[in-house]
Amino acid sequence: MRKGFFFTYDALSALVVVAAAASIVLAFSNYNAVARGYAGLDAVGRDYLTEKYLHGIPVTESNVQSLTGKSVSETIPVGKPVVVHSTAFKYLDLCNCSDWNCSLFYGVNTSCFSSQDINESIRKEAWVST
Amino acid sequence: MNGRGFFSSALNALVISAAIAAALLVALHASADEAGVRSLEAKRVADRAYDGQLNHEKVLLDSVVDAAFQYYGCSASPTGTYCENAGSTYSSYLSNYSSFLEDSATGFNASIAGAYCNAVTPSTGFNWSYSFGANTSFTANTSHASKTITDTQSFTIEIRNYSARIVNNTQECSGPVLMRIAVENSSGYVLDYYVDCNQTINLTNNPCP
Repeated sequence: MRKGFFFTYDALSALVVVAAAASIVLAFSNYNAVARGYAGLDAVGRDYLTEKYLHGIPVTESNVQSLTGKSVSETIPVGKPVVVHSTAFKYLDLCNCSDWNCSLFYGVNTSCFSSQDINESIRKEAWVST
Repeated sequence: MNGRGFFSSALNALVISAAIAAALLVALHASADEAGVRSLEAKRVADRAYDGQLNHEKVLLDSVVDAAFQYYGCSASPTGTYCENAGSTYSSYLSNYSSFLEDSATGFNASIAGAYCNAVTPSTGFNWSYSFGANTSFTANTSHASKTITDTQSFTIEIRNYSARIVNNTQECSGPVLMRIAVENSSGYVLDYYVDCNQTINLTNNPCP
C-alpha cells in the first residue's frame, strides 16, 4: 500500500542511508582535528616552557590561558579529562656563570669543574588541558 | 505491504542503521584518538631530538673545561694527556646527559659518530691550545616514531695555567696564580673563565712559562 512518496518504505530507507552517510562524512571531517588535538596541546606547553626558560620571557600560566584558551600548569592538574604533558630542556649555566666571561675562586666555586653541571632541574615540565 | 509491516521494517532499518552508525562513530573516535597519540609521539620525538642537539654545545664546553681544570687547574706541572682526558670526559658527560633526556614515554640516545682532539701551537698568549671537535647524533624514539638529528661542533681550547708576576724587577713564578680557560669557535670566544687559584705553588724545578 503506497501512501505517498515520503512515507514509503523505500523512501524511509533512503533517508536513513543518506543520514548515515552524512554522519560518517561529518565524523571524518572532524577526524583530523581530533588527531591533531594532542599535538596542539603539547605545542602550547612547549611554547610556554621555551619562552619562559630558554628565552627568559616572563610569560605566565594566565598569559597562556588568555592567549590560547588552554590551561597550562607546572604541576599535575587534577580532575581534567584530557591532559597533555609537555617537556623542554635547558642545560645549566656552567659554574653558575650566566655570562660567557666569568671569574672563579679556587676552593670557593670551582667544584663545578669536578663534575658535570647537570641535574634533574634541566627538565622543564608543563601540563596542558582544554 | 500493510501498515504494521511497513512500520516494523522501517523500525528495523532505523535500529540497524543507528547501530551501524554508532559502531562507526565509536571506531572512528578510537581511530582518531590513536591517530592523535601517534601525531603526539611524532612531535615528541622531533622535539626531544631537537632538545638534545640544542644543548650539545653546553655538554662539550662542560667537558673540555672540566677536563682542562682537572688536568691543569692550579697545578704547576700538568701530567698525562689532555686530549685523552677531554675525550673520555665528553663521552661520559654525553652518556649522563642522555639519561636525563630519556623518560618512560620517550627513549633518547646520543652517540659520537666522530671526534678529534689535537694539540695546536698557542698563538694568543696562552700556554696550551687544543682543537677539539665532535660529530654527534641525537636520536629520540617511541614505539611508533623515531627522529635523529646530527650536530657538529668544533672549538679551540686555550689554557693558561699560571702567570708570572714581577717582584723587585725580577720575574717570579709564585704567589697567587691566575688560571685562564678560554674556548673559541669560528664566531669568537664562547667561554672565557678566569680562576684565581689563591694558593702559592711550589715551582721548584718548574720554570716560568
